[in-house]
Amino acid sequence: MAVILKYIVAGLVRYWLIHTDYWQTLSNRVEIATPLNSWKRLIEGIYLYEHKINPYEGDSFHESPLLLIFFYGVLKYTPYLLPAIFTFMDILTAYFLYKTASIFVKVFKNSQRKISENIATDSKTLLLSDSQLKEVPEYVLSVYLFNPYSVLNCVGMTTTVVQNLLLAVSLWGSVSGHRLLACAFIALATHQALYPVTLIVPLSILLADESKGCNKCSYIRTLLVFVVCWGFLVYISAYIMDGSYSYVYNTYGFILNVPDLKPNIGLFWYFFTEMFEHFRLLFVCAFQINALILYIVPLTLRFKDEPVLLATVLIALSSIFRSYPCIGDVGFYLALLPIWKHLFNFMQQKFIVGCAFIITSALGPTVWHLWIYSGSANANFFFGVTLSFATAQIFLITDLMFAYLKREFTLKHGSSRLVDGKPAKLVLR
Amino acid sequence: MGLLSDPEYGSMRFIKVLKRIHYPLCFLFYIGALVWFFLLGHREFNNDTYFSENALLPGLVTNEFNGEQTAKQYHNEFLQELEDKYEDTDEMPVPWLVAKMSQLHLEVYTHNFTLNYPLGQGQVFKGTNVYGILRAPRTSSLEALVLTVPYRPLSSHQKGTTAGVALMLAFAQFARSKNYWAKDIIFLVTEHEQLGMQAWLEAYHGLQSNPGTFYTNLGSFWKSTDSERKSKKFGSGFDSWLDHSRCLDPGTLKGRSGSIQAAINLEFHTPKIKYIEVKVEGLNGQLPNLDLVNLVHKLCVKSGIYHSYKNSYAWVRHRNNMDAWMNGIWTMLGMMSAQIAGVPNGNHGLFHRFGIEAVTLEGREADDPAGNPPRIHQLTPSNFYRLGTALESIFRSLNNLLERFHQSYFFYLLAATDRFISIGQYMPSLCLLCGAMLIRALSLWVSLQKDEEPEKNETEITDKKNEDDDDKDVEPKNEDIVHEGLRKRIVKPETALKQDTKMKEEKQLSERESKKDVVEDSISVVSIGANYFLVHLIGLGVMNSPVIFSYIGAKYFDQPSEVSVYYGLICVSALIAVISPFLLKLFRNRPANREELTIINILLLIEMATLGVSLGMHNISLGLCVCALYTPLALFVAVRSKDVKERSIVVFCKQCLCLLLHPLVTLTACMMVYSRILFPEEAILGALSRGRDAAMQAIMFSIVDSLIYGNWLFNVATTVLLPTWIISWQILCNTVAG
Repeated sequence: MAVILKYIVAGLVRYWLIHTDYWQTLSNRVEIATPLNSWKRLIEGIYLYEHKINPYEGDSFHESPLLLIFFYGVLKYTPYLLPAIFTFMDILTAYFLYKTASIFVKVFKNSQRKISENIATDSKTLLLSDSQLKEVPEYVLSVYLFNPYSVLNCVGMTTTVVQNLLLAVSLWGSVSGHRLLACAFIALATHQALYPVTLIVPLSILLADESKGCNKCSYIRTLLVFVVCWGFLVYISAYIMDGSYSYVYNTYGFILNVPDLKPNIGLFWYFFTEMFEHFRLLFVCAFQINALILYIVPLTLRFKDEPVLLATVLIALSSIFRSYPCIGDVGFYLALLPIWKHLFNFMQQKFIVGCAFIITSALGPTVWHLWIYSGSANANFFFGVTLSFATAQIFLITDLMFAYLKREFTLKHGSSRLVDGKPAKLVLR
Repeated sequence: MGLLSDPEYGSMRFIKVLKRIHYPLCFLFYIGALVWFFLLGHREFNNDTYFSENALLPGLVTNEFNGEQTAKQYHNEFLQELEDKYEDTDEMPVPWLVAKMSQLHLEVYTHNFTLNYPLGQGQVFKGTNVYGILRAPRTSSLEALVLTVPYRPLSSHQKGTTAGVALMLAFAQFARSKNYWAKDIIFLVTEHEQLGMQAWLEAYHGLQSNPGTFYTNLGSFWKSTDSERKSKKFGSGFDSWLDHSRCLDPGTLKGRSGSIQAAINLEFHTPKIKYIEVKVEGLNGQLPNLDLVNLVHKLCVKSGIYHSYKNSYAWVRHRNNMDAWMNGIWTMLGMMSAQIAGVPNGNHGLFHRFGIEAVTLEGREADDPAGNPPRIHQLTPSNFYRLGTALESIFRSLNNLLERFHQSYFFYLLAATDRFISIGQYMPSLCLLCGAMLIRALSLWVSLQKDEEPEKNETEITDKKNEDDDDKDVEPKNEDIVHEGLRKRIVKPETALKQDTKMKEEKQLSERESKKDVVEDSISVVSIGANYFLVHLIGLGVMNSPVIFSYIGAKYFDQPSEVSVYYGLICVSALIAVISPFLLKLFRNRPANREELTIINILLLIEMATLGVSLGMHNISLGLCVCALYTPLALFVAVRSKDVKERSIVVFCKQCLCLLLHPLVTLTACMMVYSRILFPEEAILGALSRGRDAAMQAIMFSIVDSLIYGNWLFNVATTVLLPTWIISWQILCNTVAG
């Protein structure tokens, strides 16, 4: 009952906010709308498409052709449903996250039972009771539904709402063992924003765990399904655009090459406005490797036993380091954190991270206003704030990973940290 | 790498130290912030002003201004015209101004605007601005400079501006014949002081009052009209309440020029002024670029005009450092008091909102009400020639600008006409204040994390002993490890299993863990969140209430709106003060416990700190003032428990402090004290009532300003300051068990 009430309240709040006068302001905020996902550009692209102009020829539209077609249909026939559709998609995202969390809790309970013999006697208290585990999905749900970041993202009607839905469904699919579903949706998400491609690693591990057969076969099968799906989507998109693949330059190319340096909460724009043109390629490669590839292998090696954590961390890292991040991405991975509620006790920088989140969230719009509207501050102020926001997020993620390791260690070896009578220091390696 | 290694290692000691010294530390921070601030007045801690923008090239041209006679003639004619035809009315002599400007071959336009007074019963004010554009011969009207004079009727209680109008016209005539202008010059006379200015600026920039809804944004995709009507109905209930955007109708301008680079506002009532006061403070405390301020001061010197800023008079030399320091402090305080309310002290202040740098030059005589500067009678009075050359130099310098003002400082405090304090120098003061609150929050957080309940129940002696023991235990270990610089991965901790210390720690840890679980269970996130949300909702309601109060007051009690708004706010505040402590008990079936209240307290501190920093970025004076007032409150607020007997007098004092710091009470008290200082001869009761009236006016002004000009002082006070106050009050009025 309470759950349904939450859905209703959250849905009404979103629906109402879309209809207030603040909608215009919200949907144009840099923190919410980036060149990649803004509603304004989507409308623009659809308008061009309706008038038989290829929207990918210009520099205004960078969404995938599938979404173009989808929203073209909606706008053409039922434009009055749009606020409801966005609200519904966000609610659906919350629902799938809820489902994911509840399945994860079951898996977690099983694995906890399995390892219970290897646990040091004094760490038994660390094992989670059923009542504690039962709360987790509800926390996930509430955090997604009432987090200001995700509320604002939905109210701004960005395509990140769709992205979040796709990610949530694929997470749910992989946790519950629906290989085709998970792969299809992660392929859809990849097709839209490219960065979710990293998630195929934790997803294939999850699917392999679920299928309980030969692990390698499962990995290969997952990968194959994913590649086929992705290829199919690329082909379908080209088919929609009359057989031309030129849209790839304006979607993937746009994401990878970062030509639009409109300020956002990410780290790209400031560096590339300052960059000399001939170093651009080098630094674009460096930044994209950081966002796409760098963390997959080391994190996979370390966290292969806990693929959901791996997925959480990869989602978070890619939403920090991607070329056009927005607070919708942040809201999504924040909703995954309550799954790791039992790690919070081991986290050290909660206070700092919390303060940084609150202060930067208030200060960001402030300095943006001073820079753009009053003309008194400048880009450095805003970048300073976004940089500290990114730093806070990185702190949060490393802290989470480290908390996991600490808990693992404590479970195995007991809560004391003494080597030869001296306190020892744990290092994340 | 600190981030990837175990931070808990060695942190126990830090936590102990923090818990012990956080109160003195916060106090130290507070004192440090104040000391830092007052040091800034000293020459050693502030800087000389300098020109950052090289393109300005101030004072490099030979002055050619020759319009002294013309200016005198205009002045006499204008005075004559006013006395003949406009003696009794408040109207502006539009035909005369238009005629004169047309004679100078300027492009002359008039601009009508309307104000629907937001708090009245449909009062409507109308006004007219007159402006003439001198097109630059060299370029195609892409950039413009503005010279503006507010028109004040003879019956006005303020000083007139007739000499300003005359000087402007004379300067227009002089500038008309020159071919070196690279920017248009707009000569503007506004009516109704800031109202006319605001309307003109809004019209010039084509400000849209209706942002459009989601559906209008869909453009050609949105055709069906009936569903639009349906969607309109959805929000209409709120619209009529919250719709203040249309109270000033700026109308449209018939003639425009390019983007405005800078503006100078003149307030001269006579050419024989003794000195010029340069006014800089704008809407919401925004300041013009320091280069412009500096330019004006420097060119005043060059043209032989005495100039001043607040308490700092350019012709006064200080005998010693101490004098200069005190003077610097008074100048800073004067600037801050002008900035706090966020009300512009001249028409220049409204330009800042549009990213236009502007200052006001106000002419003052010896008997000016604003003050009586030293050696004023020895100064030779100014004349139209000097004023004209100064104006010419300023405009020719601005004419050289290649791009918008962007070089120098936008955030500064002035300690003298030629000394300034940059943002980097005053920010530490604010950051110390906010830092004090954050430290307090951190210590509360830490105490929440490492809740050492058993120690609390025991007597103090054992408590201390325990702590000492632990200290002894921890210290040598740390040192050992630090010396060795070891990063050990533990392979077999079981080897050390049998040590006594370890057993003890283990037990404590597991105890702690289990306790933490219990604690986590007992914290109801929902009720904390709901309380927070409700409190802020109350703030939002109070923000929107004045319209209702004024309506009720006018309808049932037949009172002017300031009285009804003031007493309405008092009633609401009293109601909030009574009800709010019980809000905590909503959404729950048991009284709030210590942990929950502590979390609320932490959130309160963080919110206060965030508010301070954000306010300080916009308006350092307001930020500092709010922080200086509310930091003590935020630090004193602490969760009270039933068991530990706190002296009731202390609690009472805290509650009194809290009540005194209620925004409304603070404002009224300040106004009473101020009127007592201003009129010391009056009886106390008289001063009190005078203060109350002043407070009424102040509140009314801030509300009207927020509705018409976009001054956000009232909005911040009601939506953030009031909720934080409510939360402090809640914490102070509630006791917890255990």
